[in-house]
Amino acid sequence: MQRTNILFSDFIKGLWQQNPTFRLLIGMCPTLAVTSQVQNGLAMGLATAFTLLASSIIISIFRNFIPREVRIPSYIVIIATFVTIVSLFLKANFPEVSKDLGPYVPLIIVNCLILGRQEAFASKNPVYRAIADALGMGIGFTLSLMVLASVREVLGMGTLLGHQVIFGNFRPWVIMLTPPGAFLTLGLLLGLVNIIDKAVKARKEKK
Amino acid sequence: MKQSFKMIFSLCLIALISAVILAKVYMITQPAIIANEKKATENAIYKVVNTATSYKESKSGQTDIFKCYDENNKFCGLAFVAEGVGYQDLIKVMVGVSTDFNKILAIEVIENSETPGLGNKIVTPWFENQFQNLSLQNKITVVKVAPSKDSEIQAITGATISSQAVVDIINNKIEELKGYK
Amino acid sequence: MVKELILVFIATVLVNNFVLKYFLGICPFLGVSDKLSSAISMGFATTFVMTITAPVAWLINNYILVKFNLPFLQYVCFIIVIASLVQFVEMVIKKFFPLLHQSMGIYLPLITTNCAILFMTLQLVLKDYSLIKSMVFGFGAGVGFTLAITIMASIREELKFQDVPESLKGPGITLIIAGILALIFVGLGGLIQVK
Repeated sequence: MQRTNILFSDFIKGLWQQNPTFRLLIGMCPTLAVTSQVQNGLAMGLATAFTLLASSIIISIFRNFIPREVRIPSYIVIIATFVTIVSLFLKANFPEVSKDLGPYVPLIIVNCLILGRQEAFASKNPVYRAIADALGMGIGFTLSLMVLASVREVLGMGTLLGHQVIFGNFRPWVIMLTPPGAFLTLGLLLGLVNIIDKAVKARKEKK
Repeated sequence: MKQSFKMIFSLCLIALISAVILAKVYMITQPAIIANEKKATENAIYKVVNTATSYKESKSGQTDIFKCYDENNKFCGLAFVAEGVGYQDLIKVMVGVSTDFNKILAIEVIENSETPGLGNKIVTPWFENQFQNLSLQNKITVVKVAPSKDSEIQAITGATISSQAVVDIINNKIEELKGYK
Repeated sequence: MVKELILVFIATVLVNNFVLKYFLGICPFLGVSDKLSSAISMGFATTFVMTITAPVAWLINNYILVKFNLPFLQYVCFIIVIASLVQFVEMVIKKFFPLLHQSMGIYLPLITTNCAILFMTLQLVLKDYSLIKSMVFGFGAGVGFTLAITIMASIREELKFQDVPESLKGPGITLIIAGILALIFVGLGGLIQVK
């Protein structure tokens, strides 16, 4: 029972309390760059989540063998290996997705989310907890990307996952698809998350 | 001394394992990646020369030229890739022309990173179809209203530079290849 | 030749600004831009590392990876190059320029995970730049980053005296300002077209 509880809290914290995008503000580059369409956001989220999960497992297993002084270079090499695998896999099986994400696939290596989780969690905890943590963070990251991408795609093109969702006399806000739109949307969403968080906390205190 | 030996040893070991795994994955995925690239090129060729059922590769200077043949094995057109800089970055266009370089059969934009919602409308059928059967007697020009001559293209609203870039890229390449037989 | 290099430089700094167009180096852009002095130090440190990383990455790519046909080791090699160069630069600065190390030191380790540098090395391979062009490209990317983070820090120093809505304080308002800055840089698009 105890163990299940720990696992659950390791997993769930990535979804809201310590959500990488909206609370920890890490891994921002892909968050902004690939979220002009939901499909790309989803692909990037899954690629990142896979890399995070795989490298967390490996690093957690070998956490006692990697010398402390060279842990960061070791982590980076392990992460870069998995990212290369992801990149080759996408090129071989999903050439379209690979083309859309373009140069942002290799940048998963330097996504601070992944290195940060290795340093803060996987290198200090047993494998089963590292898996729960990586899954939570990976899913939290993917969901945040999809939220941001949905806002941008719906307002910027009037579509969602390529299907028309706004009908009638709607003129797409092209700016949502461009860099300024990405910054503005994320800034406003952060404000919204803060408001919700405050309201939730205030309600808890009342009780 | 023992400490630094351990550090170097473990780093080298990790790098070695990583290299071996990657070499293996690369060998497994490489055929599929090459096949994908070939298929993409092939699809583009058959789209711009739509009567073609087979093609042969040849070269003119630096450019790959695809000579296309129809089902009766008759020479029916040429396809080649024209590339150049657009408003944002590189644009690549597959162009199909008639055997005598008299007219464009069709084009397809195969790579671009123009502004989403504006410049990247160069990939829409509306824009690409304008090039079908365009005369090559004169240089192609871009106009902002409905075209009146058979060598004119109507620019995309709000993306004149991207439209102009596609036309320039095609014009330059055709100029370069015109003598090719 | 010289004209082309100048064009590449201006295009990298203004038209294709790494931060405001490609969303690279956002973490330091948000994290280290609350004080002008630290933003400038971060900018200089990044520019310095980028300018030396570019030629080293070029040499490794052309004389090892291409020569022995090892394209799949590109990501691993480049990230190792970046990490070791950052480490090396830190040691050199610490030893010979202790004063500089005091102001730049804490930012150096952060540079390894600045995605702008990895992106820069991958781009110069993709675009098939020459050795000199790569150096100019690396330097320009660094200057562009410095420009963006300096502008942001100057604005944020003023922002301390403004009445920002409670929920937007910190990263929220910073991102919105970045959006407006990006809008200005969109206006510079198409100014110069280089391959």
